[in-house]
Amino acid sequence: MIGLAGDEKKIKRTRAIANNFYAIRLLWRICPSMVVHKAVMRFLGYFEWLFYSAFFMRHIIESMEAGETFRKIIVYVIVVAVVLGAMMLYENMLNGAIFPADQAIVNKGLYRTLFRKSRNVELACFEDSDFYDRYTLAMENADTRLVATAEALFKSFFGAIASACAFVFMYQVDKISVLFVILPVIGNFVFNRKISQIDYVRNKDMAPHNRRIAYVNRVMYLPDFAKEMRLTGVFRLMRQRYEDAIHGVADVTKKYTKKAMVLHWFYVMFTFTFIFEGLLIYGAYRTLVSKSMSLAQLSVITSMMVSTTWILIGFTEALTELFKNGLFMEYLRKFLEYKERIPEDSTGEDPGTEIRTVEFKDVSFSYKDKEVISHLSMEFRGGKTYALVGHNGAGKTTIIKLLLRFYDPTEGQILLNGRDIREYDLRKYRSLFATAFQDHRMFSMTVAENVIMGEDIPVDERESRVTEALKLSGAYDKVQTLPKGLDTILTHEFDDEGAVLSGGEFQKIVVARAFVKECPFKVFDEPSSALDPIAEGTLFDNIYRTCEKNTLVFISHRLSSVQSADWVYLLSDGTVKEAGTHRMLMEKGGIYADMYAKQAKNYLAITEEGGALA
Amino acid sequence: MKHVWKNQLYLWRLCFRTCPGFMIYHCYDGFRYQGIIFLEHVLGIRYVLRCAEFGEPFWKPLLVIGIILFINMAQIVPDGFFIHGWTYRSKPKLYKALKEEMFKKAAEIDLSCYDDTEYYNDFVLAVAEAESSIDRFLAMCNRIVQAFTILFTTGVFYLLTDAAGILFVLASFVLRFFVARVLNKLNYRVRLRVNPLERKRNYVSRVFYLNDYAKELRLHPAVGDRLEEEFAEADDAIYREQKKVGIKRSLLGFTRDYVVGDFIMDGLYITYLVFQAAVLHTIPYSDAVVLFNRTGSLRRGMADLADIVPQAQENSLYIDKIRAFLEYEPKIRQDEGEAVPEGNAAITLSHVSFRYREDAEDTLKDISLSVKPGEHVAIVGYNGTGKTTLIKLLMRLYDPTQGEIRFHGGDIREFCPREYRNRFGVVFQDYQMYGASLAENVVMDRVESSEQAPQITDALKRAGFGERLRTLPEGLETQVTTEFDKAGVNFSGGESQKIAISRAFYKNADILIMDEPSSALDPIAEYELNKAMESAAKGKTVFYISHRLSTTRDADRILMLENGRIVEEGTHDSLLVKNGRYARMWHVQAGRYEVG
Repeated sequence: MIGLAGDEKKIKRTRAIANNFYAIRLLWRICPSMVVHKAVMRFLGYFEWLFYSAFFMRHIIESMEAGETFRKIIVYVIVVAVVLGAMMLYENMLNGAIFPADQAIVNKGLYRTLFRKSRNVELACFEDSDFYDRYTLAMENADTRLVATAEALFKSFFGAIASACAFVFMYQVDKISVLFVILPVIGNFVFNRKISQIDYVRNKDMAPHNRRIAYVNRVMYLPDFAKEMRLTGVFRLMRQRYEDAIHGVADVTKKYTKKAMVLHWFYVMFTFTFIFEGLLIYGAYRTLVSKSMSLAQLSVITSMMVSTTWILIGFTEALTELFKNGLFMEYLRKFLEYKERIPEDSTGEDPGTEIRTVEFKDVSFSYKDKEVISHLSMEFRGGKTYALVGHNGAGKTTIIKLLLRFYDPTEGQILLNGRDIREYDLRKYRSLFATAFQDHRMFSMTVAENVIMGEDIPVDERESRVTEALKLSGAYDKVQTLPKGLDTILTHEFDDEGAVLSGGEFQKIVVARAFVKECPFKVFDEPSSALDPIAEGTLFDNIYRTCEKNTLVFISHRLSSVQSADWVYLLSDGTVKEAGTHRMLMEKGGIYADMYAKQAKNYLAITEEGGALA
Repeated sequence: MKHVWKNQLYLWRLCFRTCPGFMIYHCYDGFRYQGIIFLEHVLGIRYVLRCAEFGEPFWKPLLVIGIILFINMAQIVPDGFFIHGWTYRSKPKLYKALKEEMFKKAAEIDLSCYDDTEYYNDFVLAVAEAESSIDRFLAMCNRIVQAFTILFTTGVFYLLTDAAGILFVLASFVLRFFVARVLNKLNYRVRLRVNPLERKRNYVSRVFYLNDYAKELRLHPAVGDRLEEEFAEADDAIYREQKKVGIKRSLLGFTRDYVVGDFIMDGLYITYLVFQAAVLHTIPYSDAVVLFNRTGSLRRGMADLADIVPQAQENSLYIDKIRAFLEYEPKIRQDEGEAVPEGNAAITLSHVSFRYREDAEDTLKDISLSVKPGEHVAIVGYNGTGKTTLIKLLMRLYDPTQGEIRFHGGDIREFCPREYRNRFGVVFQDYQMYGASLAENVVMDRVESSEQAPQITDALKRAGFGERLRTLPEGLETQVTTEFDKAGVNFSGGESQKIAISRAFYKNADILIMDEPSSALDPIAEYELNKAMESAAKGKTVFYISHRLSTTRDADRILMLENGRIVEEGTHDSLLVKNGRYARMWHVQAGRYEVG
């Protein structure tokens, strides 16, 4: 979120206004009835307001002064009441029936567009914090804000017309009285704008302190921090931070108080006091001294000055809102108009169902201007087993992501069966792979659905296939203890009865996803990091056994599991440093051999004795 | 109802104690605002209109309006200070007054409270709502004063001018109140039906926009299709619900706003006024104008006053949560108890059993164990057999359900928990990084002087962080996390783990506890850590949990846990000879290295 506050200044006023019209067009496409009714409603609102302050009372008093019959006045009142009643009925129909239903249509239509887009942009967008921050701002309550944007636009449009009408009416009653209206115009457009500028700068100055307060708040109640809060002095540290932030807020406030006070005084005086008191004295002078104003006119002037001021305030607010909405629409528009670098729906050749070779040819890849993969070449042959090993941060997971075309290489190419993978239909290409990543995400669906993940499996085979996959990953015993077995909903996102499992159990379900899918290439990214030794051993046996016919790639820090691989790639600094079978690499005595020796040392030393003892 | 007001009184006391001047002005502000409106719009306008109607001399309205102008110019001076200075400064202070108490409590409540979902949800709600409940309370105070000011000033004006107007307003108000009640019930029923649908909608949105799920959705596009469908279905269902009640809701709204609202005032009351003014001549025109213009404000005043009760009730619900949270008495009081004797000593567990909840099964069953000072104990076993729980009991984050734990010969429940816990250096699986300097992240407290720097650097070096430390331009002053410092550093999983380990080294405690400290490390880093551990642990009692049996084999004693019991116990060698469960586990893991 840091840095977004500055955006408001960055987009041009013309662009902000254009964005408002973009919003109307977008809303029109999704739900025209919403646009029409919002406009009519705004119009009627101002009409009613002006009518009551400018005509209604004036006509009655004039009639009374002119000595009209009581009956005639009452007929007038009744006609007005009926017309007003009809308008009110219409407005209530809108608020009670049309708008709530239309809102559901807008929500459905707008979010469908947004979801499609967010599914289609490349993964890197989600990892780019600038893109992501703007994108979340665009998504949040997008439907209500889109409608609010349209409303604000109508409000400023009809507000401008209403202000002009108010001017004209006052001019008709008394030419000079119009001059008084300049006062609230100055108050609003000069002093109030200066105040908003101060508010803006002050908020910006306060933001770091407020962020600190919010952070301390979070640390104090999240259970993740609870243990350390009790075991260490970090509580004192957090309290100190909080204290500092409060002082920070006070200091910032002090900096602006005097200036804001002066501006506030002028704002209120110009916007309300001077016009009210001034017009009253002026009106009194005209009626009493120069005798050129009637009582009816005087009363109209008094009620007109109040409504004119408020119409003007409403108009200024609508204008401010217009620019604010322009910024929000900018996020939405930029997102919808974003040109995908790897569109998820990109079409191309059918890759078939067979994998002969996958080849990385001199691939480099930079992530946020930092080279993570550098001139890397490697090959995976169909039906063979490969292990990727290396330090944390050596680029192993990035290779998997490149392989799955989550990213495209900055340089070099990746070839499937001799052809650049960018030429294939992306969805068909990706369906060749089954992948279990380390970071497990569960969907609020049943266990079975979380394993199948929408794969095309005949209904009558589902249960047996899921059961098989869960048994292989080691999650089956746990799943059986759940109240509804395979049909238990996971997470309590929207089922309070939903099951929440431990990290290790979730990891096993993710691994089961890779087991259940029938495809030529399987990838496992540290599938066992959270498992106990027995579970780990069984899992690797199962991976090897079931993937005999598949091409298999896995990442592991447990080098014991690497030995049975057909080929090992040792990665360091984003490139292949050593490659060969376990035996070849051990004989070479390089980095891999050192790593292996360090990990195995304690085990090997003892197995000799253990072997002797057994 | 009494309870509701007691809760408001509670907040009033808290706020008044913290910022008395601000609170008084805050209430005065409601009076000031409505008072000025009354002065200008009722008294001022009426006086001028009257003068015009009855041809009074010009100096009279000039004087009255002049006085009003002067009052206005004076009262707005403190108003600017109130809005632009006082409020900005005082509100954080009020928030703090409440939250400080909550924070203190949060650090003090038993850890088991976090396991109790209901209690924890209330706790989160209490913290989350602390600020807004003060905001709501302040707004309510202001509105009460405003409503009373309107009712008093305008009410008296009506009584003195023409009391019948009050009847119209009152009739409209009462009728409206009943219609609104029917309408609110209808809306509430709709809400109940729409809520689960919206929850579903929000869930789907979240899945699509959180980057956590982005990868899964690209791997399994079919799941995305299905979620999209569910979203559309939820919207269709909402549409149907809204359509179903549309006509009824519109008509009720029309009745509330028009039939018993505008029609009574703009139709009937105006007829009455015209009749009084034009036919009976009992009311001057000027008064008729002002009376008519003021009906809106009188209606609003009454409605505001009627709204205060439900508002107070709503706020009271949140205050209840806050107070319930603050009134919780922790079972383990951190600063009470005897002093812990100096030096290291044996830790003895006798027949310790523990369950997380009354109705749950025992997580630990009848554990008896005596650990000599300086002994290195490894705890191994399957996932979920109670290893971490045992550690938590040792540090008295929980008390055993049965049995006792003794240190220096005394039951640990007799010691002051804070002092007792200070004897432990711990690395948990789920350690946290804090938005503070690197030094503070090691010390886990305020770092006041630079004298501590050598020890901190030393601890970091011993945890294997030395090389990385040299690459940091700000050194120990480096801000950790980018939470609020753009120049801050987000350390990788392995680096963070090293910082977490350095905390235990820095503390120089008698007893070290390591709960899978190496799970995220690569083989080399793991090796280095183990070497560092060896030197750091000399002469200290160590408890070590790990799935990597190579790191635990040199322990003086290995405890094999299964289903909450110690099933095997002994040195690595003796357990291998025994050829039981530990031996099996060892062979599964070690056997895989034999091939090479």
